[in-house]
Amino acid sequence: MMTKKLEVNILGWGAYIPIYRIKIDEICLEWGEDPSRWRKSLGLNEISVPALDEDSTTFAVEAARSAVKRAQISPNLITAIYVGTESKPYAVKPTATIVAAAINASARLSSADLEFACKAGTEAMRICIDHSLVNKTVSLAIGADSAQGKPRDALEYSAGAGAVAFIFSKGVPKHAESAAMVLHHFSYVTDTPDFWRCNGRKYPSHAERFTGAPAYFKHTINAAKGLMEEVGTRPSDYDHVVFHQPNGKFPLKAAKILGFDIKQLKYGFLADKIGNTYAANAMIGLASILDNANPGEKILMVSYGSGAGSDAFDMMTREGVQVKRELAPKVLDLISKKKYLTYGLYAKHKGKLIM
Amino acid sequence: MSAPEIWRNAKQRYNLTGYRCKKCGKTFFTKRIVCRKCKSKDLEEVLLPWEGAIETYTVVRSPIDGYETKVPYIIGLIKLKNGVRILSEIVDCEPTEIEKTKEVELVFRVLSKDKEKGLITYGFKFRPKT
Ligand SMILES: [Zn+2]
Repeated sequence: MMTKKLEVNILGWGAYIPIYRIKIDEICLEWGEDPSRWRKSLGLNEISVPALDEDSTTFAVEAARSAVKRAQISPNLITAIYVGTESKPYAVKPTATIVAAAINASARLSSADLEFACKAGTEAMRICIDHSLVNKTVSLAIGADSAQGKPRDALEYSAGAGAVAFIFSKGVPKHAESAAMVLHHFSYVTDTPDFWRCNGRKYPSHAERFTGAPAYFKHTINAAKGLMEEVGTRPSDYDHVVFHQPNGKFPLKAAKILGFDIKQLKYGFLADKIGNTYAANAMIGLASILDNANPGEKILMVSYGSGAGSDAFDMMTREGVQVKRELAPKVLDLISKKKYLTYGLYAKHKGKLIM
Repeated sequence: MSAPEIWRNAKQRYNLTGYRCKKCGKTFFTKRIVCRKCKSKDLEEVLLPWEGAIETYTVVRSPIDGYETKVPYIIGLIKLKNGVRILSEIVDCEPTEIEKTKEVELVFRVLSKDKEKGLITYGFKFRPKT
């Protein structure tokens, strides 16, 4: 069954990755673990770490400012800002309004923060895409996280930090240009207890091996298949595909199960260099694809959030993508600019050191 | 800072605004009623440039309240692209790297956190230009 195309434009995108990293080897050294075993089992080499004065809100602002630069619009045109994150600095007080003030957006704004583990960012995208579609206006969706892993827990070896922002518009405002077009989206969610964090707890918990087949793979594959069925596409129709990357192995396996070639993952696969950036994860991969793709290329993005669910998006790049990529820092440039931390400094940066 | 104080200065802290004399064009960082150059009272709020160069700096090892985990940190005197001078913390830069750092750009960071009630003050800092 063919559904009607959304045809909502991406006017701009912006990513942010802090400059600090810790190597998996350094974490292993702290806990007396075998580095080659951990690197192999996770498929990761290093993870991004926030500076002492960064949190998911400062990440969101940096990503949003880059997206505005690429969109080449007045922030006054934005009528909705939604931020997906699981690491809000405040339990109660929105990040979205801080972002709005920091980009000089108008006060006439629909805005809120969303939580759905690592899927919150793509849910923000869906809300913004639909908002732009209905209201014929410009909207800003952000995925931002500075994720925490309990010391020595498997999550400590994979929790990264970063943010990414996309500006959507139905139609193209005067003097602006479209970088890509969102044609369809599709969601698949079920009640699955694979990963959670209780109120007031600093660190999340997870259900060990339960995070694979009934959680990540079931939702990722069903969302990807559901979208392709609705749109009438096959894996070979896409030039680029990006999946949520909780580690360096799951997305490769999901690609294989669905029948994608490893070449289609080339630009979006970043986990081995920055770890799991949670709500920003698949979306940073999409930003990297836009940094590199040619006009007229088809993109499939599938996110995954524990709890659990996946959002899938069918997109196509347009002419504006090439000029716009030069207007703000590219993902690979952000990844290559880095400073390594010792475990002691890492613990301080992550607030694991209580003074 | 109290919540109203934080709120009142947010625009300048978030976006680095200043004041420009409409008569002679002289621009200032701090709020002024009268232009220091031509004495005109016709000043407007403007965005200041988000790039500049470090003129001098100091590495702080005896921190102010709330900056205990950050020592050593760097405070720089920055000459913005339009000539206006401001003081700012320089981040993403170690004391060993500051000597050869000249060009800087604005970033959005946490300035402080209220110890008792947790209210966060966000605002601009500068980092070496990327
Ligand atoms: Zn004057």
